[in-house]
Amino acid sequence: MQKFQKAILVLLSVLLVSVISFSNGSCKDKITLRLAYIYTGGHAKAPIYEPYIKEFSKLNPDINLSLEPMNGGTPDVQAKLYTYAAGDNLPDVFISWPGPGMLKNFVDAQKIADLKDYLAQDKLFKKYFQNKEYFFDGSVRFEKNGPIWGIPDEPYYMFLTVNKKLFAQAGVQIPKTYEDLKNIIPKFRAKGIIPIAMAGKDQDLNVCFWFGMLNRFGTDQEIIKGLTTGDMEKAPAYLRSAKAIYQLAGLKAFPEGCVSMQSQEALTLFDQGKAAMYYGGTWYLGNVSPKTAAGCEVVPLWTFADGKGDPKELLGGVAVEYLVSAKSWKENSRRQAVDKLLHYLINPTLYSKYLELGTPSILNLSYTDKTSPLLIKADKLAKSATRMQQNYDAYGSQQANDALNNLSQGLLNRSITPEEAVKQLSEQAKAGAAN
Amino acid sequence: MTPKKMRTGILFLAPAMLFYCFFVVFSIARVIYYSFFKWNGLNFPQFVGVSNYVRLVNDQTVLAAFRNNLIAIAMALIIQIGIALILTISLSNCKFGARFFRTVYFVPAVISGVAVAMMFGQAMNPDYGLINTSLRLIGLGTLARPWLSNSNTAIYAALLPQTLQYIGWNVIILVAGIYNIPDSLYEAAYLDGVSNLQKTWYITLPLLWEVIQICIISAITGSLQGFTHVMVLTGGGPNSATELVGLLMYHRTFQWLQFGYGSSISVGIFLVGLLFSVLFKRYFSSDKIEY
Amino acid sequence: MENLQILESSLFPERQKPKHRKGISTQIILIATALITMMPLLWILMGSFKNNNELFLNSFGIPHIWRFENYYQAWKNGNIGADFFNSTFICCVSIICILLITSMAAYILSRFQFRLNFMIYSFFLMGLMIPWASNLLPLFLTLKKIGVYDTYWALILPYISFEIPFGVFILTGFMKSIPTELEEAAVIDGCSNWAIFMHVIIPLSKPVLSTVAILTFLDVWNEYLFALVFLSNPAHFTLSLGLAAFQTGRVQYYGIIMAGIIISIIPVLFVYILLQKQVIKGMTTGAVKG
Repeated sequence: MQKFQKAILVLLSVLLVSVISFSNGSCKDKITLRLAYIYTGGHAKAPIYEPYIKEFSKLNPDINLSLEPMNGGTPDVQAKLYTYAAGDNLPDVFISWPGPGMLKNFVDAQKIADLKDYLAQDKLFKKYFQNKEYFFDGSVRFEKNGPIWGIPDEPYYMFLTVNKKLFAQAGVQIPKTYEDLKNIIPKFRAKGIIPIAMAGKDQDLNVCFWFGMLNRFGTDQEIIKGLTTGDMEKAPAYLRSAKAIYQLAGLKAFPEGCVSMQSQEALTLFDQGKAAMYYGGTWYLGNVSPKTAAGCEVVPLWTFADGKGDPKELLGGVAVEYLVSAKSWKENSRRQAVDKLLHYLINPTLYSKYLELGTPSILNLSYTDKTSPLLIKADKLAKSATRMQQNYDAYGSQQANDALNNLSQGLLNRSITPEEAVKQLSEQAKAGAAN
Repeated sequence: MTPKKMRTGILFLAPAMLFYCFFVVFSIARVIYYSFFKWNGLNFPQFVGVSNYVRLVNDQTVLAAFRNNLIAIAMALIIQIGIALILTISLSNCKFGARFFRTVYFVPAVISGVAVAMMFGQAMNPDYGLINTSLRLIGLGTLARPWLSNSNTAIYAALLPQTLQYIGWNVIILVAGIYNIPDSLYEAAYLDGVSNLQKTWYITLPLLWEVIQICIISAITGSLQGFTHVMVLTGGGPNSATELVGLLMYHRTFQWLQFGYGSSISVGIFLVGLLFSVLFKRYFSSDKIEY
Repeated sequence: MENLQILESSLFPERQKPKHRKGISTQIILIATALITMMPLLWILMGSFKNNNELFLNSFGIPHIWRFENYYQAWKNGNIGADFFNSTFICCVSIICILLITSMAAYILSRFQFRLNFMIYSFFLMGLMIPWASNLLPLFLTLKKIGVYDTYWALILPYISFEIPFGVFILTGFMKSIPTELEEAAVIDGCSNWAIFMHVIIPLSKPVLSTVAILTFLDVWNEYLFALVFLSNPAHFTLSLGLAAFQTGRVQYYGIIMAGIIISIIPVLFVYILLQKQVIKGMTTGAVKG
């Protein structure tokens, strides 16, 4: 009996070992790629994105795609990415926010790959980004004809969204200039309507509002110089726009307590017909319910009499982009796998599905009857724009961007004067440049 | 002190020592090390001596944040521990339902800080929040204001959730302590005809002092480090009016990528906490009361 | 052991309930406070059935539409089932280890008269002073180096280590007040140190051990930053991390977050009620001063 049992044991162990070695062998041929992304959980794109990327492994059996959703708000995800980078643990492909503030450190430490040649040579990407090169500037490319550090995933443009019904209720017209705006604010308040939905807590509505008005003055060079070097005395843009916010706050253009409100709350006010307009990006189109959207119009931001007169200049840029870890890009076999993944991710099939959510795309896509009507209007506006200007995160350092956030809060609750705000902004921008 | 005792001592202390040194002390040592460098986490660190500390003591934002932390400590000591004490003493004299009450008071401490902060955020909404609506209902509408947006009231409003949420936490500790006080003392007092208030002041509080000290030290260290509630409520605004040193450290380290400076802020928090605890132990901590 | 039991019963007579003399006013204070205390939980409960719009505009009212789908969404999209298991496993292992390790250390620091005891005690206490968040990068590097990154141990080991100061702090204080006569009796009986520890000290410390267990459980269950940075495979995510999925980017579905919070509170309350029984049982079987 004993011999028999021994024989069985030996047979079993041989089987086990061979099975293991076989699986090891097949594992050797498989490359494991790590993809880190933010379209998870409550994100509007998650129901589309997550099933889509799960399909990748099935379509590419020689690549094992390890999916890493990054939960949490922007600062926490940033902390996670930087810790990864510091620990040499960056995923092969990951989503990040654009701009030198975010990317400069990755670039300096050579943690992400330069995709300039790749994008120029790859047939599909060349086609997608033909004549759309300006999307790279300020988001993933920081020198003229310089290296390109990532591939934009979602573009955006900023405009004023107005609720025509509320305008009719107050008996006013959509403001084309700042003077118009000042005149209609009291009329809204008389009807118990909040003129402009605003929130100050998450560095979004408040900073974009300031920067939107900033770009109605002066030249690009002045503005960029101001934010990157702190030299703001010569640029009237900063002081004039700060004064505008201060004045509007004094006229009660914003909801009370807006400084501590989240953007979600402000948009809820707009969606529920309590606020007449808001100035935001295409990323908020999904927050406007179809019922409200039917009565909305998208228009350019007002101009200032003593500023630039062209209302058709639009603020825009890239919302998120894909970055590739330099380590992965160096290895040839990995690079090919990453190439496959990038093509899978940046793809008309996927992007057409987003049109319903009101997400624009750099690719040329045709609308369906499910496309958000506000997006169609926004696209039209963007196409008719004489020029796309870049938003603050295209050149600001983190410190300067934070200062824009803090000081706009101070202007909104009128705890500092516009002169003081600009003074502190220039100090912070200078300090940010030094670091 | 026999060799056998010595061996037992070392054996029993070893696991704690090993874990603590390897994960905590080593990490703290690294943090102290980084604080003398200028480093963004990715590039080569640059030795800068004490310049991070020089910048720290001159940084107005840090100093303002520290002032806010002091307010947090004051609120924790007075409101949080104060109310906890009142509740604990009431519990010890409770006729019925003591266990029910104890469970109920503990419930807020169980909920994640994020949720409690969100609730307070909604309660403090100037237009339809609970607080302002109630004020207007009872005719005190003039007191209604945007608590979190007004730079003067913001810090007190922002600190309220974390102060109130952990009252139950302190009640747990204090209740455990109050059961250590023997009944015989209360019996004797009763026979002597002592009033309730005197009973509390002369018997309960002094004997509870050891335990209250635990609550105080925890409140001080917690108020110096915590920032979850404020981060959810105001993110540090408006215009840094509600910044706390813990939150500032997090921002400087992971948003501005100034690991060196962030580490120096951590060391600052560490030293201040140490200072407060040492001072407290020296001036307010007495020997155990014998009776 | 017989001597020990006789000694124990003579030192700790059956406790009597404290005399009730504060009457109605005490009850009123307690009831009023209880009502106020339940408010956050009620708010979250109501909120878990609302959508964003209702949460902002009808914050403190009863939901107009009871959206049970919030719970379904939270469970499915937040992957709460798996997160639950992960959190439970990590918490249980951490708590057991914390209790064991810190009680052993506290035993030495409170009962033995070593000269270094005060220094070691202070050394442990210093760990209370530093914010956990400061250690994100050094810990990450250490955990990666020992190869436990993105595993349960990536969280269990730091949780144990960072709760040691607190555990030592509380346990040492309480253990100091255990009378030495019991130990001496045990020594006379010929017990080893380990036996004294297990059969005398631990049973007497049950209330405070339960207290420490409850408090450290709270810290660990809701902990977010370490879980965020030290885990990347979603299969390992804890509950607090899973809930954060609904705060991603610019969109936040608060109703679903609240539903997730309610789901995550239930086991904590359960554990607390369970442990609370221990605390009371321990308290009523023996006072430690007599």
